[in-house]
Amino acid sequence: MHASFVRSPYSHAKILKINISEALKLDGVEAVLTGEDVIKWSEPFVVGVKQPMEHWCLGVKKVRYVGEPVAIVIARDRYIAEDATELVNVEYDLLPPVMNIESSIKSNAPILHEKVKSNIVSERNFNYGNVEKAFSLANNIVEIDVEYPRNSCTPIECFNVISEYSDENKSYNVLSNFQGPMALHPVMAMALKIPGNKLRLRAPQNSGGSFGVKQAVFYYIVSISLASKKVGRPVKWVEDRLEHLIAATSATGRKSKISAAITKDGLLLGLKIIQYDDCGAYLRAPEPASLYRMHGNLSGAYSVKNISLKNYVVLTNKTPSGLNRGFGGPQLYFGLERLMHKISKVLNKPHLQIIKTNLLPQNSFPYKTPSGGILDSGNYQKAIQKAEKDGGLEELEKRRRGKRKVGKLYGIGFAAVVEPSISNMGYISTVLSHEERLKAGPKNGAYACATVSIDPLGSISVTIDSLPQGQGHQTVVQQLVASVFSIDPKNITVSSDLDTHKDGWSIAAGNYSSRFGGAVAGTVYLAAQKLFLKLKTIAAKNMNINVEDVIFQNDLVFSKNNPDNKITFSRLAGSSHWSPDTIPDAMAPPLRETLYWTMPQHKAPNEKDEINSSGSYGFIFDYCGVEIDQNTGKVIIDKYVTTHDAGTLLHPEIVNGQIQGAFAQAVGASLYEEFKYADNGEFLSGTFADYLVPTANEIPEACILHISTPSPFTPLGSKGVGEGNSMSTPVCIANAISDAIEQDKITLPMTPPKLWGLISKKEDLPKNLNLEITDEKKKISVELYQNYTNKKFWKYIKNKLRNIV
Amino acid sequence: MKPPYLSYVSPKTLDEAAFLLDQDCENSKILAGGQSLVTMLNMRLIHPKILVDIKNIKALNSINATDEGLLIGASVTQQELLEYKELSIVSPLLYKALPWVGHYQTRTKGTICGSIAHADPSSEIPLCFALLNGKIKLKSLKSTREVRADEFQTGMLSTACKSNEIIESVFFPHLDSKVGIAFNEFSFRKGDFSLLSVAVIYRENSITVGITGMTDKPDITVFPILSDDKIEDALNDLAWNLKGIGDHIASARYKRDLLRKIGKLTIGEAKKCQKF
Repeated sequence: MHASFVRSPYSHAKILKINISEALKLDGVEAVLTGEDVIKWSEPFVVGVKQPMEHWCLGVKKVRYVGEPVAIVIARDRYIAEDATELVNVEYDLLPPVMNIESSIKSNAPILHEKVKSNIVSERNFNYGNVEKAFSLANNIVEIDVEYPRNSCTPIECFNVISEYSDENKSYNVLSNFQGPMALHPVMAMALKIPGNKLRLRAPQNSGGSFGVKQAVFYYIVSISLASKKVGRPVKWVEDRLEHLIAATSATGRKSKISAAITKDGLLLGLKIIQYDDCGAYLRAPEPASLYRMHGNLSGAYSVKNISLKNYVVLTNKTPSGLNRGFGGPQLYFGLERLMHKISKVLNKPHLQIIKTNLLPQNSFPYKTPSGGILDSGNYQKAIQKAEKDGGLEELEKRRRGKRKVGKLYGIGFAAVVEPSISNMGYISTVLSHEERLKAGPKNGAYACATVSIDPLGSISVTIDSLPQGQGHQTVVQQLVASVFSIDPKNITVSSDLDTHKDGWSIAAGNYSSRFGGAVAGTVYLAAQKLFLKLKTIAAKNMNINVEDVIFQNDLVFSKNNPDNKITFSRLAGSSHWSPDTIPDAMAPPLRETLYWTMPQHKAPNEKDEINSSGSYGFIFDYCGVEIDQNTGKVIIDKYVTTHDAGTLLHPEIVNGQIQGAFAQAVGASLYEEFKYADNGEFLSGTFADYLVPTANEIPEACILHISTPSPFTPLGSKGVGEGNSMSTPVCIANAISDAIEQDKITLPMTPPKLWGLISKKEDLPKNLNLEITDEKKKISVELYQNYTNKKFWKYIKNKLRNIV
Repeated sequence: MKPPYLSYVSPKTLDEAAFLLDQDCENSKILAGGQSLVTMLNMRLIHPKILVDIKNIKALNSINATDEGLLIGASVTQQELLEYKELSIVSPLLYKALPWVGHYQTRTKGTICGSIAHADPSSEIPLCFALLNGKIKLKSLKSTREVRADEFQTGMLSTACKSNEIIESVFFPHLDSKVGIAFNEFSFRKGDFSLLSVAVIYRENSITVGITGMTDKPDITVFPILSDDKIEDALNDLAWNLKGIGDHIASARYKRDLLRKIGKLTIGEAKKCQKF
């Protein structure tokens, strides 16, 4: 059966009545699932903060964002389901919406969740070092207020769920393009009121992009599972683009204020940070992780010792927020790096000089940050030096001088950021107080799991838990394992699908926090090594030579001293299947190795609220030159240089693809993309004609440079690299714009009209010279056009066409 | 995003199409390239009962350059016209305007006549049609008539085409080869609906300026030959005259400024390529 959702057209309303009788009369309609079923068969999702909020898998009694599902029509095909959706009649009682952080935190604001009594659902204060003292010693205090918009990386393939309820076993069998983290599996099982082993979740080998977004499909896995229970048959739902844009998920919007205590040279003595996160209508797991993922690297690439932090989690009548490439990074660094730029303006010193003054010194790694992060390795000075030289900074500065001389608006921006990867699953508990954490029990670590097995013909199969959605994990693993055994990569297959009933996994499994390079590939390597050493031992025994004399090369195994004493790799590898006799006594057969790996540096947050929120930390230094088109206000990226230290590079081509991809999406965030709402709650970005994703025409090619300081904490020395430019690029472009137009208040996305508003002079008044030759043929219906605004566009067309048809 | 239930017919001749349309014209829609219609169907913004597909009518797939102008059949796609080998000579305006229409992929489906029929207020082809004051041929079961451009588009998404009529062809008259022609537009991304499009014909004694994006249909204004200062004044008055409407994407002020800047740029380009 096929499902179609009935969704709320209102941002905040009570549900008075849902009338499904007309829909049920339509031939082919099987049933309609509503809040009544949901209350009967499920529980609200657990939330990360201790608050009496109820987030059900359908809007129950109330709706809190445009697009919130209130019912599911289940029918013979999707066409009929959509026909019936139009026949479900929902009566609403409208409530005033809260559409931004400012209005949400006002004392008289309409409340989203009445039982909480406030729209601020979490408030935490942190103090590291002695901030007040730092501020009293400062020569200067520089402050900046910034906002980061809500947007999304919009994967090309939307959400998919097929769920089959078994009445016999009271279990659900689900196939979905879910990306993890698998920590959401228990969240789903609890919502469905079943033990974990009654929810069999399978994710396919391939999926069309995710960028974090497909984490949010978990919300629909529960409702489609209930739909299957309702009809007693498998139910399929394929999300369409309209549904995706309006209601899938969004990056968290943030408003922050940062103050810096500085010396006259611009050295940071202390930072005061206040952050408000706009998590939308519900705090959906794993939120408020956006606020805490960066906790360990709060001070970025800088050696400031004294930090105070106030974190607020705020709800508004918008789509619930969730994972999105960069997750917390774009928001944090937008404030921090805009601040560094402002300090340079206040002190009238070059921006890069302020960055260099504050960088962590070389040889200070592993470095423990004030908030508890352990920055594993790096050489920030070397990376910047390389960027300056190989990227041509001097040339770019000359270009700026030349452009400015002829009256052009041209600016250069910089950003230096630390890119965390391999999330410590315990960081989210930093939102709780130490006492609350003691009660709840410690949370930490991040197990990666990999299996390497050998079949009777000696070919190798690898299973990984990283649920890739187009990043080429399979290719990297294939090459990695081939190099361990010195065999042709063609003899290795990699399975990246996941079946919770058959595969190895932990709550940390999935495609997020750039964990592949550091954790998953490393785990594969360790498992393959284990198998390799066993094969080597068997070879030594059977070839009657010492273990250290066994050579693996080009699908052959032979003796170092006598190359004629040899055996093919496939024969050796298949031997455990065919002749267990050849295996040395007491050795477990080298058929299959499953290995779990986590890092000892992943501790739970301690009593001082210190948390090493990630496992490894790369470094990025970006700079760019932008020119502003003085006819239109359009920002033209003239040159973009991005320098990365991601430790050991496992596959340079894929690394560069990741960098260019994150850069492209960051150009979108910087100049084009935003989920916009009107003050009355109306959603304004419901199609790709309104939500503008840049195309190849709009995205320049970035100049990508690398240095490498391998991580001492990951098996291969590699670090995550997939999200860095999502964090560095938006603020780098914003700094360049700020430099070009010499203004402080830069908000994203910087669309041409917005920028024009900042640089345009007073408008000329009409002179009414009547210069036209004649206008008798000109029948302009300006009045008609008054009705034409984009937000009303489709409504207008609809009425218009109804009249015509 | 599935369309409501409907019937689909694919006639082989224009007469057959006119006959089929006449059966229930109030509940039928003509389908050509489908670049707007199919989207609206999938979004359930319209609920026709019958789609009459004219793509398979061979007679409508022709481009003819006559002594007077260019005659384009109803199923000719935008890309087919753009690739018509002598387009830059036969119709320099369309040659300059067509690359701004959507993307290569949409142009290979979307038709010239379909764009004129849809009458989106920011479209390029209706602007060219209005600027050249072309003619359109409308066919119904019992009759055929021609309508001039200044009487065809009556407003936003509305035209003089009746529900029982099919656009058979559109005619764009030739211009004197000495005139200067320029076309520009501004959108956030390449291929988007424009915020403002400007097309200019620079003649010996006049400058004709066509604009979309400010009003519900293409606006055509004729100026005498003016000095650069006066052109600025003229465009400033025109901007105030048309006003523009602000929305969540761009303010009215911004659109007026675009008209001033892009208008001046485009008139300058047209002036450069006139040969009087």
